[in-house]
Amino acid sequence: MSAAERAVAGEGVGLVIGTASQPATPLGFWLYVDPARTLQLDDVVHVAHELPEGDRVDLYGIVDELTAVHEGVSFDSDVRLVADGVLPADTAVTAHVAVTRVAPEIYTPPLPGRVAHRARGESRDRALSFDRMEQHVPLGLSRGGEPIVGNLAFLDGRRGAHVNISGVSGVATKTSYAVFLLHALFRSDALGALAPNARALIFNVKGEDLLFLDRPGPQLDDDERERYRSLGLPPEPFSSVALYAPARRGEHPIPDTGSRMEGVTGFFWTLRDFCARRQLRFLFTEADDERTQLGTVIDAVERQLALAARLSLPVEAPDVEIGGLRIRDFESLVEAISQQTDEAEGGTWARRAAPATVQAFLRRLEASVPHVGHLLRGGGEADPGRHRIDWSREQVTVVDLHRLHDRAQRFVVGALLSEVLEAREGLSAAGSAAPVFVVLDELNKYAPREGRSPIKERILDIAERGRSLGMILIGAQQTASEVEPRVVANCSFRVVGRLDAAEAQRGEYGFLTQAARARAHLLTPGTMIVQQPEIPVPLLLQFPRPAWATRPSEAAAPAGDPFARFDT
Amino acid sequence: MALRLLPWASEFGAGIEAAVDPAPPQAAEVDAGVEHSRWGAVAPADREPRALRIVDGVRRVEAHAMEDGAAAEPDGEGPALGLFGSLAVGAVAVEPGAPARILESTIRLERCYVATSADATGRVLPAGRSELRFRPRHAPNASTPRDLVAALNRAMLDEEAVLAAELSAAGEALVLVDGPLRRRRPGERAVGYVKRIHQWYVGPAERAVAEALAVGERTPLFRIEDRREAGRYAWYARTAALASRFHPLAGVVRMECDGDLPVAAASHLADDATSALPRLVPTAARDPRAPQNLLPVGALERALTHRLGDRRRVRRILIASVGDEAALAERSA
Repeated sequence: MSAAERAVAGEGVGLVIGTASQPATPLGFWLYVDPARTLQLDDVVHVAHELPEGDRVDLYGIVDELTAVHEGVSFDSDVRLVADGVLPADTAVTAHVAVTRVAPEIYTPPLPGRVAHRARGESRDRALSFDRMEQHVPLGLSRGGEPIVGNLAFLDGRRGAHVNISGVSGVATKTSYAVFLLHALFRSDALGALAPNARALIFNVKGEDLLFLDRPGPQLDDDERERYRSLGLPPEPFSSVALYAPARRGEHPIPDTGSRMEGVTGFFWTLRDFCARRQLRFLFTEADDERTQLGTVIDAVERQLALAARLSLPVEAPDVEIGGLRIRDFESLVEAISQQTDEAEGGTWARRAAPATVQAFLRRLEASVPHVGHLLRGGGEADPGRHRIDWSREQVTVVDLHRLHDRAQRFVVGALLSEVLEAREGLSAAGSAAPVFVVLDELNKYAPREGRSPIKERILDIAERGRSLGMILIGAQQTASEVEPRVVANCSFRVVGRLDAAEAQRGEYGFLTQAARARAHLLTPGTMIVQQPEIPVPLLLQFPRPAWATRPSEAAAPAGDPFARFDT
Repeated sequence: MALRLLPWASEFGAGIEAAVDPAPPQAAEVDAGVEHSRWGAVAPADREPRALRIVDGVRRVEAHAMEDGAAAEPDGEGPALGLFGSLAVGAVAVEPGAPARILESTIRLERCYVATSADATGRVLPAGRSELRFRPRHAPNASTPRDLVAALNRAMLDEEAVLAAELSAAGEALVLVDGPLRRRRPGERAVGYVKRIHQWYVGPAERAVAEALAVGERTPLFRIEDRREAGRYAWYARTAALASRFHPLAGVVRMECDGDLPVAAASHLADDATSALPRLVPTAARDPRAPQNLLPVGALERALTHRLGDRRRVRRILIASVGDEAALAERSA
């Protein structure tokens, strides 16, 4: 039987082409697709070939381009003659295969005429290097419904860390995918014994979508359940969730949310914490703040505040004492700082700075009062301990920022990231600790390509050192080109949802093949392209609809006592 | 006298190559009144398009050769001439409601060594993992290389005629063959399609009828008896209307069928063939022999030529292996 006949007889899907215009190379080749078969984009194929010396080489690859031509016609208009039944022509479908793996690593082109098979089961695992990954994290499903997994070692810090997700807001489903990844990490057996202690901190910057992670969503149909099943994940909402929203202005720190109050904690920091933890700098996060002399003033004031916090008694009190005055709210704190720094009023905290710089510092500080004042409290009825964000209590902590002013958002992100970093640095044997995953959207705002800011420094720190601290950043942004390149470069996993056509051509997406770039602007919600270190081509995948509610109307009230988790 | 162009690209000749002498000596005997005694355009009634089989062939001279063996003998005749050639014939099916397709099973590829000497032997030459097998063919009356080329061409035409007769016997389809019919029994559904006018078989009055034909019309049948034993029925038909700068005969072809058929059957065949043609005509942009060279024929010729293999490769194989053989012969001598 000839190779061509064998291919037709059901053993293969196509034959390797070798012509001057479409030569086969060790890294990519074209297949003539058996007319009786369908090959589609993302199909995985396998070609075995034997070297003259007798070695067998297995080439695996993934279909990333397909063409169909009429053979034997020379003019475009000939298609009409062929369709009219006048001009004989053959139809040829060809598929380009991007090689994903060569085993053993003898890089030779497959010889023209070799039969290509569809890779299924173990063969597919080899093709996509899944067999080399010790611990699998489900990443999603191929369009054929087969699981696509990632190597945990590149996600938990052992060999690499961090995920970066790009895509147009609204259609790229960046946050949904990040949350799905968390679900996959926590509910698959990937983390093993570390799973119970692994934590996730999610900053919710848009809408209230993430305030219902613990509630079941609308009933999933059988197809969706089947998708969860084939990924080895339960179609269930998150079971261990802490929800925080900014405390509302006024005496009672009830959460400032639009749709859900129950189970949500209104958060604030005590003035003592603010001073002791040197969080003042996170009120000065405009990109140009660092370039001015403000930095020295901020440093000096922070030092003085930390000192004041240490000296204020009793140590458990939420307030501080400055210049003999008890400071019980942020406005008073700003006034006190103003007195202590303004030389005209006898201030001594910023003696070395020029008066104009001090004035600039004070102007900005005062401007922040209306935006962050309610998040920094020195007293009141509430027990401050119950309103600090404790990201280590539950498995997933959602901090809702979406109703906060931009300045306050930056403050919360900066202050919290700092706290988590400090906590991780305090661990002695970080290597064995369970990882903390931090989900942060709008990286372009917090770690922009240009300029410096305290938050950007924290994020860079996480990107560069987080791996060894077990602190994993799952960052997202509309456009990776506007994010600090070092942050993106440190990510082992790059994920792309729907991209703007011009954005897709930027160098930041160099990991996408030409075909993947073209597809990136066609992606529909729920479809992503994922690049991971061990697979040389990006893979297109789909992830199932969330099993948790994403809007108030979907969230069924929990069974049992509705007040059980009510919290003030 | 109006000046008109003939439409073919000049490297293919004129398309009309009959002598201009108004009363040329006719080699054949022609009876123009077999179907209608008075000549006028015949417009076939609207009919179901009929399935067609279009037969064609290609041939190629791969290399010329000379054999010296005979000269060494006392009554030697001098060097013998030879020619390595390849030919392929095949058919296209054009059927109503179906895509046109090249009938794979009809394709015949032959490589031959055509020689002037009767005892020429064939050659089997290694070509990579396969081989090229040149079968011997004796060309009895050949004395020049040009004669050998003509013999190769005849071999191709013979193969075409054999295939046409087979296809005619095998089904109901009308079989169009490129060129005049050559066999005594060409097949009762076989129609020869003559692109080039070599000879005026009819007088000026009848020719005027041919010039005035509309697309899809034909002249009445006329019967040709020539030196070959078989008589044929022939007719002119217009396949295309060209712009007035081209001569009116330029869109006209001559067709012929078996002369042993009853006249009524021949008329029917002529009507079918005439009405089938206009949709198969290429534009001048895609074929230098438009409108005569039919679309499926052009495609078939390309496919067949492709089957002959890469010309440079065949030539290199010949140079390499025939040389080896000579070296081998020298060593054994």
